[in-house]
Amino acid sequence: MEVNITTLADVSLLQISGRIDSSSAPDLGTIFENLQHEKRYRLIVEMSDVEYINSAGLRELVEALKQCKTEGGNVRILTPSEKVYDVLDLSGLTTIFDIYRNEADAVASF
Amino acid sequence: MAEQRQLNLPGFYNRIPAFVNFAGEAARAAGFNDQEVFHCQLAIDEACTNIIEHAYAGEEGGDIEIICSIESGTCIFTLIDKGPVQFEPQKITPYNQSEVADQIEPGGIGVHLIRQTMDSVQYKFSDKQNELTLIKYHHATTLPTDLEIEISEIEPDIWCIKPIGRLDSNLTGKLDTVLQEMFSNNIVNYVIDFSRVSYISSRGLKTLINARLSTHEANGKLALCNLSSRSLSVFEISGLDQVFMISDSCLNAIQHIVVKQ
Repeated sequence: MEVNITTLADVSLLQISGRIDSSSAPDLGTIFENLQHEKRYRLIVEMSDVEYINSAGLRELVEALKQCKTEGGNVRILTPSEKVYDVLDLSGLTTIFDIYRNEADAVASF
Repeated sequence: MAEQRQLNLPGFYNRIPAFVNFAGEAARAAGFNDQEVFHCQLAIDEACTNIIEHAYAGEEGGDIEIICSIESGTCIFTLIDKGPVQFEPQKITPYNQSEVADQIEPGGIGVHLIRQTMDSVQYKFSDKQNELTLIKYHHATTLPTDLEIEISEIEPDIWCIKPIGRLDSNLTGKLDTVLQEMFSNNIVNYVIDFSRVSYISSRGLKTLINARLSTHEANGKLALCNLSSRSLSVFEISGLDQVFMISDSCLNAIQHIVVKQ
């Protein structure tokens, strides 16, 4: 798993690629925690190059969403890959996360 | 004949990708589509994670053994661990799907995903070992169906096309489109079921002859079934009953295709 973080004014864009599984999910959790410490609560997670995700990855996304929401922010998902969307759908999370198909819309949503 | 595969590795998180690959290869060998392959990988991933977390209470607890029995369209995965703790999925906080983010407890999401992706989930415990059996079937995919033409995959790689109504120029035009779409998707083995066809025009015959030619060229097979006596006589008069494989039932038509392969 690789994560690139870009800061756009008060929104942070995380571009994740590779596999989010039990081995890499804790690293993603750490990245989310660091963003919390920096008081960055408006996050866009771009997931078009995520090849694989399991429940460990979903858990980190849900935890980040809960944290950000309590601080008045949000976690929005941008261009999920087919597998990411499938897993979100199987878990009933497509109604919890706002999913965007293009970056400009996702940024403008905040 | 079912094929058996087996993989035995120590229960470490960094070994899970090897189990996931094993599941993916088995699923592909069973003829599953990409999504079904992914669902097998996901279920095995979640099941192995649960074994490490719960049965062995952490890494270094012991081995995980997976046996997979593969038949065309079916995978049966059996996961065996020797953990002292019996993993009882009902004891895990059930995953509560909610419309509200704050209320989501993602704890039991792994078990939820296993149940969502597999057709059957069974646990068996003895004093020696815990056994989890997961069964996944290949589900026939259905092409976008025209209201007047039903399309379904009735056997792996064998499709059934069922036009409903009079095979006049209107319905024949739709049938042409469907057949072209199937051909471009490399679907070359199919049965055309005439049970709901009340009439066939010369244009309908022409479409069938073209379909016969293109499937033949692609080494595929086309069979017709359930023709009414009226439709059958149209074929007989034109001598086309000698050209097409014509069966009295869908099942026999499939047999024709399978035998010819």
